[in-house]
Amino acid sequence: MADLLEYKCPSCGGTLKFDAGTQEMKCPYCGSTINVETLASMDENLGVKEDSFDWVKMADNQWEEGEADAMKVYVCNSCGGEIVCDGSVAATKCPYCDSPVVMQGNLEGNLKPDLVVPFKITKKEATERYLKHLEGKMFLPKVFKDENHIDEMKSIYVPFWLFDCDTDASATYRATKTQMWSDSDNDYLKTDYYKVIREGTMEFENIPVDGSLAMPDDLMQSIEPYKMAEAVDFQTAYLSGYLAEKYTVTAKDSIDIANERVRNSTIDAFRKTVKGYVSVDNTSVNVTVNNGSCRYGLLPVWIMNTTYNNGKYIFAINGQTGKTVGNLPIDKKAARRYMLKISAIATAVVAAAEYVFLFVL
Amino acid sequence: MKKLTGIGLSLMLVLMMCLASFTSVWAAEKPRLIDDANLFTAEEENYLSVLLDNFREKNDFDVVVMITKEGLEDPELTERADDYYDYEGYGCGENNDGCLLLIDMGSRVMHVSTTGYGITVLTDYGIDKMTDDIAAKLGEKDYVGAVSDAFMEDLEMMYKAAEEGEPYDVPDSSVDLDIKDPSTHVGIFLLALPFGLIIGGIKTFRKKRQLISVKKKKAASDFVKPGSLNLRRENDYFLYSTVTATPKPKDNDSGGSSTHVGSSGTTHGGGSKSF
Repeated sequence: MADLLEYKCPSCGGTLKFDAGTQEMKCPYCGSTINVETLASMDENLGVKEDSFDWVKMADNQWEEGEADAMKVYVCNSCGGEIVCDGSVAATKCPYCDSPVVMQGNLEGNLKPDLVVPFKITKKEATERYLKHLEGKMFLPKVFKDENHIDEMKSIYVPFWLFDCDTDASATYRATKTQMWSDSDNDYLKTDYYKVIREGTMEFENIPVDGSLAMPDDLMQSIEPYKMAEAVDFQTAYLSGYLAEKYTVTAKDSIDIANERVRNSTIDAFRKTVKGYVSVDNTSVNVTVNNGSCRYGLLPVWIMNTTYNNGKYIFAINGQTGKTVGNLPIDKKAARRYMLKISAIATAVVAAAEYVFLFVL
Repeated sequence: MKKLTGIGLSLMLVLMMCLASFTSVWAAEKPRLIDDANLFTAEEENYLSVLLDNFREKNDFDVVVMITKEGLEDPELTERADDYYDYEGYGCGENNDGCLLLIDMGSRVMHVSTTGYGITVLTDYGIDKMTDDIAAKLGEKDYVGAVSDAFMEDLEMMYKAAEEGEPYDVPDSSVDLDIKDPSTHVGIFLLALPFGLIIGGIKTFRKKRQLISVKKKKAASDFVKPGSLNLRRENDYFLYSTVTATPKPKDNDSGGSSTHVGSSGTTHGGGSKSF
């Protein structure tokens, strides 16, 4: 039995019919005519693919015999953070939540980091960055500024999974161009509809996803990016004098975050290649991730915890670039006063403009 | 020869003057109420005719009322009203000032046709009100009232307004502001306040936002290998076009009178309405 092929009108969804006179497909419902070649090209895209993510190589660097012996692991029973020190430092408090930590043992059974980005920002520089972060914030409570927590600044190597991958994407958009003109009776709007197809590939490298349960994901994403060209192969010597955290989220469990970011970036980049239209709507996008691989890296972070008015505030400074982030408390009274003041001034200015417009001009 | 021409000229002048006065007298004697539909009793007809004649004499402005049952509708109704007025020689002065109300009981449509100064007196807005008032009376079967109260009273009012230099027209929407009036200042303040609050709100929001520096990142654009985006297919297919036409808004509130030229070449204003 022969299959009957039906083509749907891209405008109204009605079944198209072949018009022998014009040699084109015509929609009997809305009158649209579609070029047969155009339809044929659209036909190629009928099969809907699903996104797929193919990660082939995961971090699996192992410690050599005796290499990690000097490493001690401390556990915070409050936030679950696991701190690694090389014996030159004795961890007593959790750098995330300030709770006391207890020694758990050594690093047995854990992966060895592939690479490390060494600290470049000193404690003095980190302090300066933090103080600069507080500057120019009109609604920051004065008391918060005056209280000095700078001694609490801690340096820590945070475990990150660094993902590399290629993406292959195909996207279809429905786009429009418009033209307007008028005669004596009517205003006319002509809308041209287009089907836009983009297919291609992109490459990503070193997308960082933190492997720490205790470290908030958004805080770590906010101090991105690190200059990975300056990363070096991991040596235990780099940990000397610093705290490091052992990963508490595996690479496998971090992949979803990387997948989502890769997918969104690919969609954004493809969308930007559709130019010259008034409106562009995605009709279908599919992204496949190929040749995915992942490395385990330690990235340097200065961190500071403080409490104010029963609220906890955590600040992070990129230990390589000095980028400083951390949400600050707000002085609500100051904000209200400011709003009243500005509103009053703006009202007066607008009223003055009205007087000039109504009575002077 | 010269003398002859002089006599001829003066003779012609006298003849023309006679003719003019005759026309005027003849015009005055023409019926101003034509009731082909037998809507009125002889008594009512008399009463209304006097009303129309009096108005003409007092104001030097012709008023004609014509009732038909021919079932005329526009544009024939308008043509009929204009032509009747022109060809029957109604109107006062050199511009044939006046108006004619034609009510067709067959089609139940009426038309007010204006000529000369009538175009100034009865604006589109005025005719709209006048025909509304007439339609209300006709709806009550008060045919005499439709002419004597609705039509004539509106005409009196509108004529008076035109004589005072301000024809009855679309109300002036612009308000004259008095700087001495306290309510002016309150109005200006109330108008400025929302703008002030919006500006204050936006500026405060911006300052508040400075305190927030931690945000989740949805994309990984910092980690795209530079120049790695490689498109192997870039197709833009034209599918189809649609054209929508939106009628331009007609400026209804501009006031004044719209006019057209009748078959006699005379310019008329006017307006029709069903009842």
